[in-house]
Amino acid sequence: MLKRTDYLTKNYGKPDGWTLAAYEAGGGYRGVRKALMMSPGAVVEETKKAHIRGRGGAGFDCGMKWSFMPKPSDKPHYLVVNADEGEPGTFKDRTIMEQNPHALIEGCIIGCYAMGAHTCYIYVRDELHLSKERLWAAIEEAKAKGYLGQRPFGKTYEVNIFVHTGAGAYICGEETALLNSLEGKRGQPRLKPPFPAQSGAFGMPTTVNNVETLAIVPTVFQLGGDAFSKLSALHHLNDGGTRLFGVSGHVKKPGVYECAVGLTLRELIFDLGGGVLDDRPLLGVVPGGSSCPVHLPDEIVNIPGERFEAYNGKCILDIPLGVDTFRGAGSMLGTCCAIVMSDAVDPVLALQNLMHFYRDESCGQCTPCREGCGWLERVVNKIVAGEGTMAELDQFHEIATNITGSTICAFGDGAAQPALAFIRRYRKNFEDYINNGAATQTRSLSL
Amino acid sequence: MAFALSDERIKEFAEILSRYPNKMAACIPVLHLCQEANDNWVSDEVTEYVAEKLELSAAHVKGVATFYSLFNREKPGKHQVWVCRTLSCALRGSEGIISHCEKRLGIKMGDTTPDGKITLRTAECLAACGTAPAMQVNKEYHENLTPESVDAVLDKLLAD
Amino acid sequence: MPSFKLDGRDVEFSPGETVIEAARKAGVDIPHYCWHPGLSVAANCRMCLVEVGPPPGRPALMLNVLEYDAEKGEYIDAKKPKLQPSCQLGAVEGMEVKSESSEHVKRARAAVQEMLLLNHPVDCPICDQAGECRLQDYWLEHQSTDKRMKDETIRKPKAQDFGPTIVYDAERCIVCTRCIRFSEEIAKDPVLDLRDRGNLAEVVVAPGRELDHDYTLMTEHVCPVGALTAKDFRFKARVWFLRSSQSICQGCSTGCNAFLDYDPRDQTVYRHRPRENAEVNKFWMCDKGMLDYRRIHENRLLEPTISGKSADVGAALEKAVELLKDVDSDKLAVVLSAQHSNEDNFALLTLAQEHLGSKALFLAARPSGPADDILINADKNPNTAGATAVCGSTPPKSFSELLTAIGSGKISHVLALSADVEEDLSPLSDLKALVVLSTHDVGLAKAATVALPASSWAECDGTFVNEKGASQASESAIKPQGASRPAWKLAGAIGMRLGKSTPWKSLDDFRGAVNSDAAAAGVDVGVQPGASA
Repeated sequence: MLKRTDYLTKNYGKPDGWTLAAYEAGGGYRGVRKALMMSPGAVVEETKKAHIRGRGGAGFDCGMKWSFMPKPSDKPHYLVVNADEGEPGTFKDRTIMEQNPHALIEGCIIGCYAMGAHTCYIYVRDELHLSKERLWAAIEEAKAKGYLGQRPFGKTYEVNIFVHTGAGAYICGEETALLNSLEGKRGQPRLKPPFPAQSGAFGMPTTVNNVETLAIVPTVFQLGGDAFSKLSALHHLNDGGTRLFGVSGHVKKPGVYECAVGLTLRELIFDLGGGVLDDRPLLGVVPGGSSCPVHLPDEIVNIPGERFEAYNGKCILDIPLGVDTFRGAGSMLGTCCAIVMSDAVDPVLALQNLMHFYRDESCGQCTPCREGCGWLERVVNKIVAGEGTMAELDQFHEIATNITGSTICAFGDGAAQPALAFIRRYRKNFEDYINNGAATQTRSLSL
Repeated sequence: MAFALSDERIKEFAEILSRYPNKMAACIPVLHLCQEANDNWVSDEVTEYVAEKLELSAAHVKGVATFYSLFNREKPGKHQVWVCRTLSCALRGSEGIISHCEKRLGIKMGDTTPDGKITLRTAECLAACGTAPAMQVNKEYHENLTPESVDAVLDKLLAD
Repeated sequence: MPSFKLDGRDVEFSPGETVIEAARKAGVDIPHYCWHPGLSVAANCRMCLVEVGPPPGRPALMLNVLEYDAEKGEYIDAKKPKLQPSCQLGAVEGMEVKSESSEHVKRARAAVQEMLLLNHPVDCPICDQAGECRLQDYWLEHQSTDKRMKDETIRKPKAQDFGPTIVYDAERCIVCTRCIRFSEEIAKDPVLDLRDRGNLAEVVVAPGRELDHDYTLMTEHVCPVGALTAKDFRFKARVWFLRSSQSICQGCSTGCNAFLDYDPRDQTVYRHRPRENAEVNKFWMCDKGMLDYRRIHENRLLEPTISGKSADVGAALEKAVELLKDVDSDKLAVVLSAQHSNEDNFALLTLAQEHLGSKALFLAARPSGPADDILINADKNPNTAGATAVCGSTPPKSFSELLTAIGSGKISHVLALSADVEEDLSPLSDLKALVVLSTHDVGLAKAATVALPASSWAECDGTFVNEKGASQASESAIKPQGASRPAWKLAGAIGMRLGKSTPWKSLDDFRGAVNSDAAAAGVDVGVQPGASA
C-alpha cells in the first residue's frame, strides 16, 4: 500500500525549513503541549497505542520500551537518542536532524517527561557535523522560547538536551556500546543483563531511542495514538503509523520517502524510486540496511502463521514492509532503507564490500566476531583475487554460522547474515570466480 | 613541548564538562577539542593531557583515542578528505571517485600529498546513500559526486 | 540449597552465583579463557558458552543459519540456539544447562578455539607458556583439527617491553583483558588498556608509564596464554620439567600461599607463584614475594665457619658446644628468628631453656617496610607471630635491646637463629662467643664465632603463623643446599652434644614434641602435622 505522508518531511528542502519558526508554522510543538497536560503514565499509554516500532532496526515497540523504565526515584533517569546512523544503506535519520531537528527536540521533551528523565543526550556520529550544528541551534532556539530548561511550556518539569559526539565507530549504534561511548569509554557493547532500563547511562535507568522513533512521537500526540497507528496498513499487526523509507543503489530516484507503514519493496523501488537504473533487471535487494539478508527479486516467501496468511506464497517484493512480516518471512526489516542492485552488479564484489565493512567496524571485544569477520573478508578477498578454493567456499557458511548467536551483541549476527544470504543466493557466482576466473561475472558494482 | 589548550578552548572545555555527571563522559568531546588544537591529531602528549584533566588513566584515554577512527595517530594534511567506499556509494561509482582522487592527487588512499595539503582516506558508510557517491571534506559533505565536481573541490583545497 | 541441572547432573548454587562459579565449586571446569574467579566478568572469549533450555512453555530462541548439502549442491536452512556465556549467566533454580552434552556447544567451542588460533603464531617451541597454555590444552580437548586458514596471520608487535618485569607479544594475545582487569581491579592501578579495535586490538601501557606497580607479575600469571611473559622466567625452564611444592611466601607476614616450582634434576627453584587461599591471598601475590624465591640460591651460607674459616659440620658443632656449655646462664642470650619456622624456633627455644638454662630471649627480624591494603604487610617477616608465640607468656625482646645489653656487658654469649637484621652489629664484637644458625651469609653469620648453615624454607617443611594468626604449613621443594640442615636439626644436634638426648628423630616426632611441650606450657603454636594446610 503506497500512501505518502508528510508529518516529518513537510519542511524538507524548504529554505530555513529547520528553524523553530518553520516548525511551528507547520504545527510543531503542539503535541508536546498536549502531552505535558497528561500524566507521565498516560503519555506512555498513549505512545503504546501508536504502535511505533523502533525505527533503528530492532523494531521494538517504543511505548513498551518506555514502560520498562522504573518509577521515578532519587536516581536520575536518562533519555539517550541514538543518532549514530551508519548502517550501510541507511540515511534517513540524518535528514531529520538536518531538515527537521525540532521534531526530534519535541519528541525528546515528551520522552523525558514520560520516563521521568530530566536530561537527554543525543549521540550523533561525528561525521554528521551539519546535523550537530542544526540540533544545537534547535536546542538554543527552544531554550530561548522557554521550551527547554526549568519550565518547558510553563510546566514545572526541567528538561535539558545535549548533543554528544561520537568519533567514528559503527558499533556505537549498538545501544550499550553507545552508552559506553557516551560515558567516555571505548565503544564496546556491554553484557546484558542488566538492560539499560535498569542500569544504562552512568549506571542509571536509561532508554535509548532512535532519532526517527522519537521524532514521530509529537505526531502521535497531535493525532492521538490510535489514529496514528491506524495510518498503517499493518495496524492489525501492531506495527503502526508512518515511517521514513529510504532507497539507494541502482534506482532512478534514490532518496527518503515518508509513507504509511505497509509499503512494499516493489512500491519503494518502482513507484517511489522510479525503477531500476536503465530499466535493467533486478539482481537483488537488501530490505533495510546491510545487516539484513539480500533477496532475489522473484523470491517467494514462506511465512507461517495465521496472521500472515494473506502474505504467504507471495513474492518478497510484494510483502508489506513490517517488522513482523519480514521477520516471519525469514528476513529482517531493519531500518527500512533498501539497497537495490541491478544485474550490472557482481554479487561477489558486493559481499566483499560488506565484509570489508564488518571487519573494519568489529569492536574486537569477543572472539567469534573479532576473528570471524576478518576470516570472512579474507575468504572473499581470496576468491575475488582468483586465489580462492572450493574448500574455502564450502567453509564460508560455516564461519558465518559459527559467528551467529555466539557473540556479545548483534553485530556478529549482522555480519553473518549478509554473508549467509549472499552465499546462499549467489553461490554460482562465487564458484565462477574459483573455477572459471569469473568469466561470466560483471566484475563491477556500478553501471 | 607539553601540550596545553588556549584560554578560549579552556572555556569550551569547562562548558563540555558541565554537560555530564562525571568527568570521564567528556573524554570524547575533549579529545576532539584537543585534536583540533593539535594540528588534528592525538599525540601521546595530548593523551596524557586529557588523562590528567579528566582524572583518568592515560591507558584509558589511549584506548579510547585508538578505538575511534576519527582520532588521528599522526598529523594529517591541512585538509582531510574521506571518500565513502561502502555498498550504496560503491553501487553509484565510488570506486571511480576513489581512483580519480588518487590519480588527481598522485597519492594512494591513506596518504597525504607531499605538500601536506590533503590527506586522502576512505570512509565507511557516511549515511549519504541516497545522494551517493559522497565524500566528506573536513566537516562538510559533498554528495552526488562526479569526477568534475570532485576536481572542483580538490582544486579549492589545493589552492588553500 | 537451590540447584540447577548441568548436563543432567544436579549442581547446587548460592543465590547470586553464576553457572561457571557453581560448576567450579562442584568440581566441573567449564572451559574458559577470560573468566577468572577473582576478576570481574568480561564474557569476551566465548569459550564457556552453554546451551540453556527455555523457560517452561516458551520456545527456545533459535537463529537462522545454513548448512551445505554437497551432494545436492545446495544450501539448507538450519537453526541454532542462542548460546549463553556461563560466566555471565546467573544460576536459576531448576534451569537446564547443557555444556558437554550439547552438540551446539561442542561446535561453538571448537569454533572459538579455531578462531583464537586463526591469527596466533603457534610458536609453542619458543614460548614459555607452552605446557601450561590454555590454547594448547583446549585445542586438544575441544578442537583437535588442523587450522583451516592457511594464509599468513596478522602481524603485530612482538617482545614489547612493558616494564621492569613483563614482556608482551601482541600476536599471542587473545585480548581476554585479564591483565587489564587485574591491574585495575586488584592492583588498583589502571596502567593497562586495549588499543585499536577489531582483530587489530592489543594491550597497551599508558603513555608516560611502565607496567611497574607492585603486582606486575600477576599480569603474566593471569594471562591464559603466552602473551605476557615474565622477564625473570623467560627462556629459563620448560614447565613440564618442573615440579611444585606448596609453600608459604617468606616476603612478609601476610603469608601468601604459594607454589615453589623447581626442577628436581638440577635441584633448582625457578618460580614462585600464588596458590589459591580465599582467606589469605585469594589468587594473588606481589612481585616481591614472587621474586623472593631467588634468595634460595643467592648468598647462601653453604658450609659452617669457625671464626670466619670454613669447617666441617662436626667440627663446627663441637666448637659451638664448647663455646656454649658451662656458660653463666644469665650471661647467655638466645635469639629466635621471625624469618624461621615454628619448628626451628621451638627447637632453639628448647635448647636455650632446657639445656642451656638461658632466660634472655630476643627476636631477630627484618626491619619493617612499605605496606598496602592489598597484600603487602609492613612486617617483612613470615613468622613474627609464630616466633613470638613459641615463647609463651614471656615474649622475646627486640634485637636492638640485645645489642644494648651486650654493650652494657650484661650478655657475653649468644646463640642465634639468623635473620636479615639491619641494626648496627658492631656491639657483637664485644661478645665472647656468638653461635649462629643461618640460611644466608648475612651480617650475623659473618660476625659469628661459629656459623652453622641452615636450610631455607625451600629445603625443609615448616610452619609459619601469619599476622592474622593463621598457622600455615610450608612444604620443602628441593634438598638442603650445600652442608645445610634444617635449623631444628642443628639445634637438636647441639643439644645431643651437650649431653641432653632429644627424642626427635623425624620431623613428625619433633612436631609431636613441639605440640605436646607447647600444650604443657599452655601455648598453641599449631605446628602442622603435614604440609597440606
